[in-house]
Amino acid sequence: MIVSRGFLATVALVATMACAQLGWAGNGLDRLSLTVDEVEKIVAHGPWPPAHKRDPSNRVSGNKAAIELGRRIFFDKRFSGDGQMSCATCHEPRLGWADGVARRVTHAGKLDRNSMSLLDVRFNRWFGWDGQADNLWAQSIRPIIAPDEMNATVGQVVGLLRNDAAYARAYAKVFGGPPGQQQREAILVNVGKALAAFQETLVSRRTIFDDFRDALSRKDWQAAARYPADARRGAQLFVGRGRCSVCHFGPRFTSGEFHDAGVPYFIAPGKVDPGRHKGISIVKQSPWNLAGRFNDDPTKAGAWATRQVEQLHRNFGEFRIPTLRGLVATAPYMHDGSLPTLQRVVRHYSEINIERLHADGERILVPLKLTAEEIADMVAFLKTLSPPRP
Amino acid sequence: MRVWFSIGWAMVLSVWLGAPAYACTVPADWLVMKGKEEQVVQAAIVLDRDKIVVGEPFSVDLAVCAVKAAFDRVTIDATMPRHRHGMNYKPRMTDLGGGRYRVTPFVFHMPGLWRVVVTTYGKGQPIHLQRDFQVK
Repeated sequence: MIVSRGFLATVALVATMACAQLGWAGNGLDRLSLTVDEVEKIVAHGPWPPAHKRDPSNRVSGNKAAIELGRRIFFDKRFSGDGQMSCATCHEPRLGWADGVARRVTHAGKLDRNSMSLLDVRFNRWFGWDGQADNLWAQSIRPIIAPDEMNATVGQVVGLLRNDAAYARAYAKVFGGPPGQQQREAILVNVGKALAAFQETLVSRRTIFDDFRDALSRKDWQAAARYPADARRGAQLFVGRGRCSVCHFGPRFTSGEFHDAGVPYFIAPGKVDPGRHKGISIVKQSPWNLAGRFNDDPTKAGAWATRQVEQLHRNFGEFRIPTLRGLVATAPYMHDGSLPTLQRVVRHYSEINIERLHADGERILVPLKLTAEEIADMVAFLKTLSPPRP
Repeated sequence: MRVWFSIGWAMVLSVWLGAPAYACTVPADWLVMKGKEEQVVQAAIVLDRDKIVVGEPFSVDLAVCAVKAAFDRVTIDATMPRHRHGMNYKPRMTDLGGGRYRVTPFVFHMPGLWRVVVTTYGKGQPIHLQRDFQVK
């Protein structure tokens, strides 16, 4: 049988189109130099943003009036002992909702830890570097009354809400009654809930990594090829040999749990930071945890974590794994702000001394021994997790 | 009379020696736990690995049956053997009777290889049975 060239060309064209429709891995992935396994792991870092759910423990979560009240309180320096600090002092919008310094110096001296960004905080299970709060409204109260931070008294906070007419009106609108008729502790908790409602609106924007991830997810290899090559190589390291995605997992690039990252936990001579170990004690004893009476969810569904979390020896010196989104704006890095740049962070993991890790023989981190080019690629990748400046 | 007395004692002894702590059977469609002594104690769990979400709590149903040795206590836990750590949350076991337990919350807080271990404690050495799960 003689087969015409035209027939063969038609068959080849149809076969190619069929393969393209099926997303045949060997076709586009070869051009991207990605394996099927690498694509799967990269796709696991999305989609972004996650679906927004109201916080059932906070009855004013998502409430517009509460968000506005929380926003006003957030920027109001009168909620500090000396009238010089507000929440925004350590969580400044133009600095990625962090503060750009290793450790903030207050009236009490240098704080023990770096200020964490508030971006995407609504998705956390635990709050603070040590997870000493299991909900955002309790975490929002803590720095206001902390003696070494904003150093306000409960009386001062309550007095502001009661005596400032604008605050009293706004409070009554949000919480269904004037603050003058409520108990002090309830008012304090409600201040936390208004602040939490505001902070829930702080969600990081989509990035070019998210475009890349979504293109891979729908097997649009052409769109995926627009992602910079150095960032792609960095992503391969991140999900491959670097094993970074074991801890910096999922769309938020964090499991939300705690680990020893090999950063010394000595704060000063004779003073150590116990990290998660003490955080567990604090959250279990807190009157404002999700097992307590101020949780607006009658089922207390979220309380399981605080009830069942185990305080283990290895928790000493562990700190919460932060998100990697928005990193470009939130230098310096680590729980003590000791690493000033992303290059230094990547070099830290490249050269890590595992003999200094203390987590009871846990073996997750190993020195990656990256080349200079690999370090540059990883940094390029990490930078794509931050949105372009507006 | 002496014969009936001997038969009676033989029946008592056979019941005493042969009776397990839990006269039950492990459900056929559950995931059987493996170990050197899986013929001494049988255990199986229901754990739908497709429904496991890293970092999110889930429940495990456990069935434990004595085959050749009785036991009076059962525990279940999970570790990541390559990382040398366990779970961050201690699950609670609810005894449903008949060798069945509901265990919650299990939380696999990282992707990777997780090893679930069931341990029974009786008169002799503890018996460990295990099963591995690759979590993505």
